[in-house]
Amino acid sequence: MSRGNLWSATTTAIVATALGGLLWVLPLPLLLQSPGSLLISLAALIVLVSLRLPLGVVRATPSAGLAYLAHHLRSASFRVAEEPGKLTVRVGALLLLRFDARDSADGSEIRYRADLDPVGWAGWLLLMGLVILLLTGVPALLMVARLRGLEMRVLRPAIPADGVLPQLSAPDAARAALADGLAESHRLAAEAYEATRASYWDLLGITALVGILAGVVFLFAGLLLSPGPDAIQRATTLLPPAAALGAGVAAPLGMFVRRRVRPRLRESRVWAERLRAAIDPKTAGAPPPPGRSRFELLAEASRQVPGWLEARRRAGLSAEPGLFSLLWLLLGYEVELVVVGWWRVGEDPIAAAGAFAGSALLGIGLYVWSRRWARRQREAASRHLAAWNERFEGVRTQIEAYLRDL
Amino acid sequence: MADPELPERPDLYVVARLLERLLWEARPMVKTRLQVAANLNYDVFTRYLTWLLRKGLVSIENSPDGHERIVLTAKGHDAYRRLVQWINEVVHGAEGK
Repeated sequence: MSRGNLWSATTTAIVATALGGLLWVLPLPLLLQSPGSLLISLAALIVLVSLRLPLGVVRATPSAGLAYLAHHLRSASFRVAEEPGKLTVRVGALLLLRFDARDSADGSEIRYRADLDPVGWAGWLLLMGLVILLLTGVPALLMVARLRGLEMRVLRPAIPADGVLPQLSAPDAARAALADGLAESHRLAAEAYEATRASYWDLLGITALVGILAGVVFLFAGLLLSPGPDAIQRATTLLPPAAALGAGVAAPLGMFVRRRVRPRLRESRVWAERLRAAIDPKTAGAPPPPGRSRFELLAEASRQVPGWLEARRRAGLSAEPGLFSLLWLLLGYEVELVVVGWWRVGEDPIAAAGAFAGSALLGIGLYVWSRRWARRQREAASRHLAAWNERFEGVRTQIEAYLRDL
Repeated sequence: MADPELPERPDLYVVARLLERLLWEARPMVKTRLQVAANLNYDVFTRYLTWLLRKGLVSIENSPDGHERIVLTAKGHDAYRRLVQWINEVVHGAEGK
Protein backbone atom coordinates (compact mmCIF):
# COMPACT_ATOMS: atom_id res chain seq x y z
CA MET A 1 0.00 0.00 0.00
CA SER A 2 1.53 3.34 -0.94
CA ARG A 3 2.26 5.68 1.92
CA GLY A 4 -0.40 8.23 0.91
CA ASN A 5 -3.10 5.64 0.50
CA LEU A 6 -2.14 3.88 3.69
CA TRP A 7 -2.58 7.17 5.50
CA SER A 8 -5.91 7.81 3.79
CA ALA A 9 -7.20 4.36 4.74
CA THR A 10 -5.93 4.53 8.31
CA THR A 11 -7.19 8.10 8.79
CA THR A 12 -10.62 7.10 7.51
CA ALA A 13 -10.79 4.24 10.01
CA ILE A 14 -9.54 6.38 12.91
CA VAL A 15 -11.90 9.27 12.12
CA ALA A 16 -14.82 6.84 11.87
CA THR A 17 -13.88 5.33 15.25
CA ALA A 18 -13.51 8.77 16.85
CA LEU A 19 -16.77 10.09 15.40
CA GLY A 20 -18.63 6.96 16.43
CA GLY A 21 -17.25 7.25 19.97
CA LEU A 22 -18.05 10.97 20.14
CA LEU A 23 -21.58 10.33 18.99
CA TRP A 24 -22.17 7.99 21.93
CA VAL A 25 -20.35 10.13 24.53
CA LEU A 26 -22.22 13.35 23.74
CA PRO A 27 -25.66 13.73 25.34
CA LEU A 28 -27.52 13.25 22.08
CA PRO A 29 -30.88 11.53 21.64
CA LEU A 30 -30.72 7.80 20.89
CA LEU A 31 -32.61 8.43 17.67
CA LEU A 32 -29.62 10.44 16.43
CA GLN A 33 -26.93 8.21 17.91
CA SER A 34 -28.06 4.91 16.42
CA PRO A 35 -28.58 5.88 12.75
CA GLY A 36 -25.65 8.30 13.01
CA SER A 37 -23.34 5.48 14.02
CA LEU A 38 -24.65 3.35 11.15
CA LEU A 39 -24.08 6.14 8.65
CA ILE A 40 -20.53 6.80 9.89
CA SER A 41 -19.72 3.11 9.63
CA LEU A 42 -21.17 2.85 6.15
CA ALA A 43 -19.38 6.01 4.98
CA ALA A 44 -16.04 4.72 6.34
CA LEU A 45 -16.54 1.42 4.58
CA ILE A 46 -17.50 3.09 1.29
CA VAL A 47 -14.38 5.29 1.47
CA LEU A 48 -12.20 2.22 2.20
CA VAL A 49 -13.59 0.15 -0.66
CA SER A 50 -13.32 3.10 -3.06
CA LEU A 51 -9.60 3.75 -2.51
CA ARG A 52 -7.49 2.39 -5.37
CA LEU A 53 -4.16 1.35 -3.94
CA PRO A 54 -1.20 1.23 -6.34
CA LEU A 55 0.78 -1.98 -5.95
CA GLY A 56 3.61 -1.51 -8.41
CA VAL A 57 4.70 -1.10 -12.01
CA VAL A 58 5.63 -4.00 -14.28
CA ARG A 59 7.39 -3.73 -17.61
CA ALA A 60 4.70 -5.58 -19.52
CA THR A 61 1.24 -5.02 -20.96
CA PRO A 62 -1.61 -4.72 -18.44
CA SER A 63 -2.99 -8.15 -19.36
CA ALA A 64 0.45 -9.80 -19.04
CA GLY A 65 0.99 -8.09 -15.67
CA LEU A 66 -2.37 -9.28 -14.36
CA ALA A 67 -1.82 -12.82 -15.72
CA TYR A 68 1.54 -12.94 -13.94
CA LEU A 69 0.00 -11.72 -10.68
CA ALA A 70 -2.90 -14.21 -11.03
CA HIS A 71 -0.45 -17.09 -11.39
CA HIS A 72 1.59 -15.88 -8.42
CA LEU A 73 -1.46 -15.56 -6.18
CA ARG A 74 -2.82 -18.95 -7.26
CA SER A 75 0.54 -20.48 -6.38
CA ALA A 76 0.10 -18.92 -2.93
CA SER A 77 -3.26 -20.77 -2.64
CA PHE A 78 -5.55 -17.79 -3.18
CA ARG A 79 -8.75 -18.17 -5.16
CA VAL A 80 -8.41 -15.94 -8.21
CA ALA A 81 -11.18 -15.15 -10.69
CA GLU A 82 -9.99 -13.65 -13.98
CA GLU A 83 -12.01 -11.38 -16.21
CA PRO A 84 -10.70 -9.28 -19.08
CA GLY A 85 -8.66 -6.48 -17.53
CA LYS A 86 -9.28 -7.40 -13.90
CA LEU A 87 -8.74 -9.98 -11.20
CA THR A 88 -10.83 -10.74 -8.14
CA VAL A 89 -8.98 -12.46 -5.31
CA ARG A 90 -10.74 -13.91 -2.28
CA VAL A 91 -8.99 -13.31 1.03
CA GLY A 92 -10.61 -15.26 3.83
CA ALA A 93 -14.35 -15.59 4.19
CA LEU A 94 -15.49 -12.02 3.64
CA LEU A 95 -12.79 -9.91 1.99
CA LEU A 96 -12.13 -9.55 -1.75
CA LEU A 97 -9.30 -7.74 -3.50
CA ARG A 98 -10.09 -6.37 -6.95
CA PHE A 99 -7.05 -5.74 -9.15
CA ASP A 100 -6.75 -3.86 -12.39
CA ALA A 101 -3.86 -2.52 -14.47
CA ARG A 102 -3.46 0.57 -16.61
CA ASP A 103 -0.80 1.71 -19.06
CA SER A 104 1.94 3.83 -17.57
CA ALA A 105 5.17 5.39 -18.89
CA ASP A 106 7.24 2.39 -17.70
CA GLY A 107 4.80 -0.37 -18.59
CA SER A 108 1.66 -1.07 -16.56
CA GLU A 109 0.65 0.07 -13.13
CA ILE A 110 -1.12 -2.60 -11.10
CA ARG A 111 -3.65 -1.32 -8.58
CA TYR A 112 -6.14 -2.90 -6.27
CA ARG A 113 -8.99 -2.01 -4.00
CA ALA A 114 -10.53 -3.90 -1.13
CA ASP A 115 -14.15 -4.98 -1.27
CA LEU A 116 -16.49 -7.17 0.74
CA ASP A 117 -18.35 -10.08 -0.77
CA PRO A 118 -22.18 -10.09 -0.41
CA VAL A 119 -21.92 -12.07 2.85
CA GLY A 120 -19.45 -9.49 4.14
CA TRP A 121 -21.71 -6.55 3.24
CA ALA A 122 -24.79 -8.25 4.69
CA GLY A 123 -22.86 -9.21 7.83
CA TRP A 124 -21.48 -5.70 8.25
CA LEU A 125 -24.88 -4.04 7.89
CA LEU A 126 -26.49 -6.59 10.19
CA LEU A 127 -23.79 -6.00 12.79
CA MET A 128 -24.27 -2.26 12.55
CA GLY A 129 -28.03 -2.69 12.81
CA LEU A 130 -27.94 -5.04 15.78
CA VAL A 131 -24.90 -3.99 17.81
CA ILE A 132 -25.55 -0.31 18.01
CA LEU A 133 -22.93 0.26 20.69
CA LEU A 134 -20.09 -1.17 18.63
CA LEU A 135 -17.43 1.41 17.87
CA THR A 136 -18.12 1.73 14.20
CA GLY A 137 -14.59 2.37 13.00
CA VAL A 138 -12.98 -0.64 14.70
CA PRO A 139 -13.83 -3.12 11.92
CA ALA A 140 -12.48 -0.57 9.42
CA LEU A 141 -9.21 -0.42 11.38
CA LEU A 142 -9.04 -4.23 11.39
CA MET A 143 -9.59 -4.22 7.64
CA VAL A 144 -6.75 -1.73 7.09
CA ALA A 145 -4.45 -3.85 9.30
CA ARG A 146 -5.37 -6.97 7.29
CA LEU A 147 -4.69 -5.22 3.99
CA ARG A 148 -1.34 -3.90 5.20
CA GLY A 149 -0.27 -7.37 6.38
CA LEU A 150 -1.29 -8.93 3.07
CA GLU A 151 0.52 -6.31 1.09
CA MET A 152 3.76 -6.79 2.99
CA ARG A 153 3.60 -10.60 3.02
CA VAL A 154 2.11 -11.49 -0.34
CA LEU A 155 1.41 -8.65 -2.74
CA ARG A 156 4.62 -6.60 -2.65
CA PRO A 157 6.94 -9.63 -3.03
CA ALA A 158 4.89 -10.66 -6.09
CA ILE A 159 5.98 -7.57 -8.05
CA PRO A 160 9.66 -7.69 -9.13
CA ALA A 161 11.61 -4.67 -7.84
CA ASP A 162 12.76 -3.70 -11.34
CA GLY A 163 9.33 -4.38 -12.81
CA VAL A 164 10.69 -6.94 -15.28
CA LEU A 165 8.57 -10.10 -15.30
CA PRO A 166 10.69 -13.27 -15.23
CA GLN A 167 10.83 -15.21 -18.48
CA LEU A 168 9.64 -18.75 -17.88
CA SER A 169 11.53 -21.67 -19.39
CA ALA A 170 9.51 -24.05 -21.61
CA PRO A 171 8.99 -26.63 -18.82
CA ASP A 172 8.07 -23.90 -16.32
CA ALA A 173 5.60 -22.34 -18.76
CA ALA A 174 3.91 -25.72 -19.23
CA ARG A 175 3.76 -26.33 -15.46
CA ALA A 176 2.44 -22.80 -14.87
CA ALA A 177 -0.35 -23.31 -17.42
CA LEU A 178 -1.31 -26.58 -15.72
CA ALA A 179 -1.26 -25.01 -12.25
CA ASP A 180 -3.48 -22.13 -13.43
CA GLY A 181 -6.00 -24.52 -14.98
CA LEU A 182 -6.16 -26.68 -11.87
CA ALA A 183 -6.50 -23.64 -9.60
CA GLU A 184 -9.35 -22.23 -11.69
CA SER A 185 -11.06 -25.64 -11.71
CA HIS A 186 -10.67 -25.78 -7.94
CA ARG A 187 -12.29 -22.35 -7.58
CA LEU A 188 -15.29 -23.41 -9.66
CA ALA A 189 -15.62 -26.74 -7.81
CA ALA A 190 -15.29 -25.09 -4.39
CA GLU A 191 -17.89 -22.45 -5.25
CA ALA A 192 -20.24 -25.16 -6.51
CA TYR A 193 -19.76 -27.06 -3.26
CA GLU A 194 -20.40 -23.94 -1.17
CA ALA A 195 -23.52 -23.08 -3.19
CA THR A 196 -24.88 -26.64 -2.88
CA ARG A 197 -24.17 -26.65 0.85
CA ALA A 198 -25.95 -23.30 1.32
CA SER A 199 -28.91 -24.61 -0.64
CA TYR A 200 -28.95 -27.86 1.37
CA TRP A 201 -29.07 -26.09 4.72
CA ASP A 202 -31.70 -23.64 3.46
CA LEU A 203 -33.90 -26.54 2.37
CA LEU A 204 -33.45 -28.25 5.72
CA GLY A 205 -34.35 -24.96 7.43
CA ILE A 206 -37.50 -24.64 5.32
CA THR A 207 -38.36 -28.26 6.16
CA ALA A 208 -38.05 -27.49 9.86
CA LEU A 209 -40.24 -24.40 9.43
CA VAL A 210 -42.90 -26.44 7.63
CA GLY A 211 -42.85 -28.92 10.53
CA ILE A 212 -43.18 -26.15 13.10
CA LEU A 213 -45.98 -24.53 11.11
CA ALA A 214 -47.87 -27.84 10.90
CA GLY A 215 -47.54 -28.27 14.68
CA VAL A 216 -48.67 -24.69 15.41
CA VAL A 217 -51.70 -24.94 13.07
CA PHE A 218 -52.69 -28.22 14.72
CA LEU A 219 -52.31 -26.64 18.16
CA PHE A 220 -54.43 -23.61 17.35
CA ALA A 221 -57.05 -25.65 15.53
CA GLY A 222 -57.21 -28.00 18.50
CA LEU A 223 -57.57 -25.07 20.92
CA LEU A 224 -60.42 -23.61 18.89
CA LEU A 225 -62.27 -26.85 18.38
CA SER A 226 -61.78 -28.73 21.65
CA PRO A 227 -64.24 -28.07 24.48
CA GLY A 228 -63.25 -27.13 28.02
CA PRO A 229 -62.77 -23.88 29.97
CA ASP A 230 -59.04 -24.23 30.82
CA ALA A 231 -57.05 -23.18 27.73
CA ILE A 232 -53.67 -23.94 29.36
CA GLN A 233 -54.67 -27.48 30.21
CA ARG A 234 -55.99 -28.04 26.67
CA ALA A 235 -52.78 -26.61 25.20
CA THR A 236 -50.70 -28.90 27.44
CA THR A 237 -52.72 -31.88 26.27
CA LEU A 238 -52.42 -30.86 22.63
CA LEU A 239 -48.68 -30.09 22.73
CA PRO A 240 -47.32 -33.66 22.43
CA PRO A 241 -49.48 -34.59 19.40
CA ALA A 242 -48.67 -31.18 17.83
CA ALA A 243 -44.96 -31.83 18.30
CA ALA A 244 -45.36 -35.36 16.95
CA LEU A 245 -47.24 -34.05 13.92
CA GLY A 246 -44.54 -31.40 13.30
CA ALA A 247 -41.81 -34.03 13.53
CA GLY A 248 -43.88 -36.40 11.38
CA VAL A 249 -44.18 -33.78 8.66
CA ALA A 250 -40.58 -32.49 8.86
CA ALA A 251 -38.79 -35.84 9.12
CA PRO A 252 -39.85 -37.35 5.74
CA LEU A 253 -39.37 -34.00 4.04
CA GLY A 254 -35.90 -33.76 5.58
CA MET A 255 -35.10 -37.30 4.45
CA PHE A 256 -36.27 -36.45 0.96
CA VAL A 257 -34.08 -33.33 0.85
CA ARG A 258 -31.15 -35.27 2.25
CA ARG A 259 -31.55 -38.04 -0.33
CA ARG A 260 -31.83 -35.56 -3.19
CA VAL A 261 -29.07 -33.12 -2.28
CA ARG A 262 -26.46 -35.10 -0.29
CA PRO A 263 -25.06 -37.05 -3.27
CA ARG A 264 -24.51 -33.81 -5.21
CA LEU A 265 -23.00 -32.22 -2.12
CA ARG A 266 -20.63 -35.15 -1.60
CA GLU A 267 -19.64 -35.24 -5.25
CA SER A 268 -18.81 -31.54 -5.44
CA ARG A 269 -16.86 -31.79 -2.17
CA VAL A 270 -14.83 -34.72 -3.50
CA TRP A 271 -13.99 -32.76 -6.63
CA ALA A 272 -13.02 -29.67 -4.65
CA GLU A 273 -10.79 -31.78 -2.40
CA ARG A 274 -9.15 -33.63 -5.32
CA LEU A 275 -8.33 -30.36 -7.04
CA ARG A 276 -7.23 -28.77 -3.77
CA ALA A 277 -4.78 -31.62 -3.28
CA ALA A 278 -3.47 -31.19 -6.83
CA ILE A 279 -2.67 -27.50 -6.29
CA ASP A 280 -1.38 -27.86 -2.75
CA PRO A 281 2.03 -26.15 -2.77
CA LYS A 282 3.44 -29.05 -0.69
CA THR A 283 2.75 -31.62 -3.42
CA ALA A 284 2.27 -29.58 -6.61
CA GLY A 285 6.00 -29.67 -7.42
CA ALA A 286 6.25 -33.46 -7.16
CA PRO A 287 5.80 -35.78 -10.17
CA PRO A 288 2.28 -37.09 -10.72
CA PRO A 289 1.41 -40.46 -9.10
CA PRO A 290 1.99 -43.57 -11.29
CA GLY A 291 -0.66 -44.16 -13.90
CA ARG A 292 -2.25 -40.75 -13.45
CA SER A 293 -1.53 -37.30 -14.74
CA ARG A 294 -2.62 -33.89 -13.61
CA PHE A 295 -3.63 -33.25 -17.19
CA GLU A 296 -6.21 -36.04 -16.90
CA LEU A 297 -7.51 -34.46 -13.73
CA LEU A 298 -7.77 -31.08 -15.46
CA ALA A 299 -9.48 -32.59 -18.51
CA GLU A 300 -11.95 -34.54 -16.33
CA ALA A 301 -12.58 -31.44 -14.23
CA SER A 302 -13.29 -29.41 -17.36
CA ARG A 303 -16.14 -31.83 -18.16
CA GLN A 304 -17.66 -31.14 -14.73
CA VAL A 305 -17.76 -27.38 -15.27
CA PRO A 306 -21.36 -27.17 -16.58
CA GLY A 307 -22.52 -29.15 -13.53
CA TRP A 308 -20.69 -26.79 -11.20
CA LEU A 309 -22.19 -23.74 -12.86
CA GLU A 310 -25.60 -25.39 -12.66
CA ALA A 311 -25.07 -26.04 -8.94
CA ARG A 312 -24.44 -22.34 -8.41
CA ARG A 313 -27.56 -21.45 -10.41
CA ARG A 314 -29.66 -24.06 -8.61
CA ALA A 315 -28.67 -22.62 -5.25
CA GLY A 316 -30.60 -19.54 -6.41
CA LEU A 317 -30.88 -16.82 -3.82
CA SER A 318 -29.09 -19.00 -1.24
CA ALA A 319 -25.92 -18.32 -3.18
CA GLU A 320 -26.61 -14.56 -3.18
CA PRO A 321 -26.60 -13.69 0.52
CA GLY A 322 -27.08 -9.97 -0.11
CA LEU A 323 -30.26 -10.46 -2.15
CA PHE A 324 -31.35 -13.29 0.13
CA SER A 325 -31.12 -11.00 3.19
CA LEU A 326 -33.01 -8.27 1.34
CA LEU A 327 -35.75 -10.71 0.39
CA TRP A 328 -36.18 -11.84 4.01
CA LEU A 329 -36.18 -8.22 5.18
CA LEU A 330 -38.97 -7.34 2.74
CA LEU A 331 -40.89 -10.48 3.67
CA GLY A 332 -40.59 -9.36 7.29
CA TYR A 333 -42.10 -5.97 6.34
CA GLU A 334 -44.89 -7.74 4.51
CA VAL A 335 -45.79 -9.81 7.59
CA GLU A 336 -45.50 -6.69 9.75
CA LEU A 337 -48.03 -4.88 7.54
CA VAL A 338 -50.47 -7.78 7.91
CA VAL A 339 -50.06 -7.69 11.70
CA VAL A 340 -50.53 -3.90 11.76
CA GLY A 341 -53.63 -4.23 9.56
CA TRP A 342 -55.06 -6.91 11.84
CA TRP A 343 -54.33 -4.76 14.89
CA ARG A 344 -56.01 -1.65 13.46
CA VAL A 345 -58.96 -3.29 11.75
CA GLY A 346 -61.36 -2.52 14.60
CA GLU A 347 -60.42 1.08 15.32
CA ASP A 348 -59.25 2.36 11.93
CA PRO A 349 -60.53 0.22 9.04
CA ILE A 350 -59.10 2.55 6.37
CA ALA A 351 -55.57 2.33 7.82
CA ALA A 352 -56.02 -1.45 8.17
CA ALA A 353 -57.14 -1.72 4.55
CA GLY A 354 -54.10 0.34 3.51
CA ALA A 355 -51.79 -1.98 5.45
CA PHE A 356 -53.39 -5.09 3.90
CA ALA A 357 -53.20 -3.56 0.42
CA GLY A 358 -49.54 -2.58 1.00
CA SER A 359 -48.75 -6.08 2.18
CA ALA A 360 -50.49 -7.62 -0.84
CA LEU A 361 -48.71 -5.27 -3.23
CA LEU A 362 -45.36 -6.02 -1.60
CA GLY A 363 -46.06 -9.75 -1.79
CA ILE A 364 -47.04 -9.57 -5.46
CA GLY A 365 -44.03 -7.38 -6.21
CA LEU A 366 -41.67 -9.81 -4.47
CA TYR A 367 -43.22 -12.77 -6.27
CA VAL A 368 -42.94 -11.12 -9.69
CA TRP A 369 -39.40 -9.97 -8.96
CA SER A 370 -38.26 -13.43 -7.76
CA ARG A 371 -39.84 -15.11 -10.83
CA ARG A 372 -38.13 -12.68 -13.15
CA TRP A 373 -34.83 -13.09 -11.33
CA ALA A 374 -35.08 -16.88 -11.58
CA ARG A 375 -36.00 -16.67 -15.28
CA ARG A 376 -33.04 -14.39 -16.03
CA GLN A 377 -30.77 -16.79 -14.16
CA ARG A 378 -32.11 -19.76 -16.16
CA GLU A 379 -31.69 -17.92 -19.46
CA ALA A 380 -28.16 -16.85 -18.59
CA ALA A 381 -27.33 -20.45 -17.55
CA SER A 382 -28.69 -21.79 -20.86
CA ARG A 383 -26.64 -19.27 -22.81
CA HIS A 384 -23.50 -20.13 -20.83
CA LEU A 385 -24.07 -23.84 -21.29
CA ALA A 386 -24.56 -23.46 -25.05
CA ALA A 387 -21.41 -21.33 -25.30
CA TRP A 388 -19.49 -23.81 -23.15
CA ASN A 389 -20.60 -26.78 -25.29
CA GLU A 390 -19.55 -24.96 -28.42
CA ARG A 391 -16.17 -24.09 -26.93
CA PHE A 392 -15.68 -27.64 -25.66
CA GLU A 393 -16.45 -29.14 -29.07
CA GLY A 394 -14.16 -26.60 -30.71
CA VAL A 395 -11.30 -27.44 -28.37
CA ARG A 396 -11.82 -31.18 -28.86
CA THR A 397 -11.68 -30.75 -32.64
CA GLN A 398 -8.55 -28.59 -32.29
CA ILE A 399 -6.81 -31.18 -30.11
CA GLU A 400 -7.70 -34.07 -32.40
CA ALA A 401 -6.48 -32.13 -35.45
CA TYR A 402 -3.31 -31.13 -33.63
CA LEU A 403 -2.45 -34.70 -32.64
CA ARG A 404 -3.24 -35.94 -36.15
CA ASP A 405 -1.21 -33.27 -37.94
CA LEU A 406 1.78 -33.12 -35.60
CA MET B 1 13.39 -50.75 -32.18
CA ALA B 2 11.06 -52.88 -34.31
CA ASP B 3 8.34 -50.91 -36.05
CA PRO B 4 5.19 -51.47 -33.99
CA GLU B 5 1.74 -50.54 -35.20
CA LEU B 6 1.19 -46.86 -34.47
CA PRO B 7 -2.02 -45.67 -32.82
CA GLU B 8 -4.39 -44.31 -35.48
CA ARG B 9 -6.08 -41.93 -33.10
CA PRO B 10 -3.75 -41.58 -30.15
CA ASP B 11 -5.42 -41.43 -26.77
CA LEU B 12 -5.02 -37.87 -25.52
CA TYR B 13 -4.74 -39.02 -21.91
CA VAL B 14 -1.96 -41.50 -22.66
CA VAL B 15 0.01 -38.96 -24.68
CA ALA B 16 -0.42 -36.35 -21.94
CA ARG B 17 0.53 -38.86 -19.24
CA LEU B 18 3.82 -39.68 -20.95
CA LEU B 19 4.65 -36.06 -21.75
CA GLU B 20 3.75 -34.91 -18.24
CA ARG B 21 5.85 -37.58 -16.57
CA LEU B 22 8.85 -36.54 -18.66
CA LEU B 23 8.15 -32.88 -17.99
CA TRP B 24 8.47 -33.44 -14.26
CA GLU B 25 11.77 -35.28 -14.58
CA ALA B 26 14.87 -33.15 -14.29
CA ARG B 27 16.91 -35.72 -16.23
CA PRO B 28 16.29 -38.17 -19.10
CA MET B 29 14.21 -41.10 -17.90
CA VAL B 30 14.96 -44.79 -18.32
CA LYS B 31 12.40 -46.41 -20.61
CA THR B 32 11.17 -48.99 -18.11
CA ARG B 33 10.72 -46.34 -15.43
CA LEU B 34 8.62 -44.27 -17.80
CA GLN B 35 6.54 -47.33 -18.68
CA VAL B 36 5.88 -48.05 -15.01
CA ALA B 37 5.15 -44.40 -14.23
CA ALA B 38 2.66 -44.25 -17.10
CA ASN B 39 1.13 -47.57 -16.02
CA LEU B 40 1.05 -48.98 -19.57
CA ASN B 41 1.70 -52.51 -20.73
CA TYR B 42 4.77 -53.07 -22.88
CA ASP B 43 2.94 -53.23 -26.24
CA VAL B 44 0.94 -50.06 -25.71
CA PHE B 45 3.94 -48.25 -24.28
CA THR B 46 6.10 -49.23 -27.29
CA ARG B 47 3.45 -48.08 -29.74
CA TYR B 48 3.03 -44.73 -28.05
CA LEU B 49 6.75 -44.23 -27.59
CA THR B 50 7.31 -44.86 -31.29
CA TRP B 51 4.54 -42.41 -32.10
CA LEU B 52 6.05 -39.76 -29.84
CA LEU B 53 9.48 -40.32 -31.39
CA ARG B 54 8.10 -40.07 -34.93
CA LYS B 55 6.37 -36.82 -34.07
CA GLY B 56 9.54 -35.42 -32.53
CA LEU B 57 7.98 -34.91 -29.10
CA VAL B 58 10.59 -37.04 -27.33
CA SER B 59 14.06 -38.27 -28.19
CA ILE B 60 16.21 -41.16 -27.01
CA GLU B 61 19.57 -40.67 -25.40
CA ASN B 62 21.98 -43.58 -25.14
CA SER B 63 23.74 -43.48 -21.82
CA PRO B 64 27.06 -45.14 -20.89
CA ASP B 65 25.26 -47.68 -18.66
CA GLY B 66 23.60 -49.14 -21.76
CA HIS B 67 20.07 -47.99 -20.88
CA GLU B 68 18.03 -46.05 -23.35
CA ARG B 69 16.74 -42.86 -21.76
CA ILE B 70 13.87 -40.76 -22.94
CA VAL B 71 13.87 -36.99 -22.87
CA LEU B 72 11.22 -34.43 -23.79
CA THR B 73 12.14 -32.25 -26.78
CA ALA B 74 11.33 -28.56 -27.14
CA LYS B 75 8.46 -29.61 -29.41
CA GLY B 76 7.26 -31.96 -26.67
CA HIS B 77 7.25 -29.16 -24.11
CA ASP B 78 5.32 -26.97 -26.49
CA ALA B 79 2.85 -29.75 -27.30
CA TYR B 80 2.09 -30.39 -23.63
CA ARG B 81 1.67 -26.65 -22.93
CA ARG B 82 -0.70 -26.31 -25.89
CA LEU B 83 -2.83 -29.23 -24.73
CA VAL B 84 -3.08 -27.73 -21.26
CA GLN B 85 -3.90 -24.30 -22.63
CA TRP B 86 -6.71 -25.66 -24.76
CA ILE B 87 -8.29 -27.32 -21.75
CA ASN B 88 -7.71 -24.12 -19.78
CA GLU B 89 -9.71 -22.23 -22.39
CA VAL B 90 -12.69 -24.44 -21.60
CA VAL B 91 -12.30 -23.95 -17.85
CA HIS B 92 -11.39 -20.27 -17.77
CA GLY B 93 -14.16 -19.15 -20.09
CA ALA B 94 -16.77 -21.22 -18.30
CA GLU B 95 -18.53 -18.31 -16.66
CA GLY B 96 -18.97 -16.57 -19.99
CA LYS B 97 -17.10 -13.45 -18.85
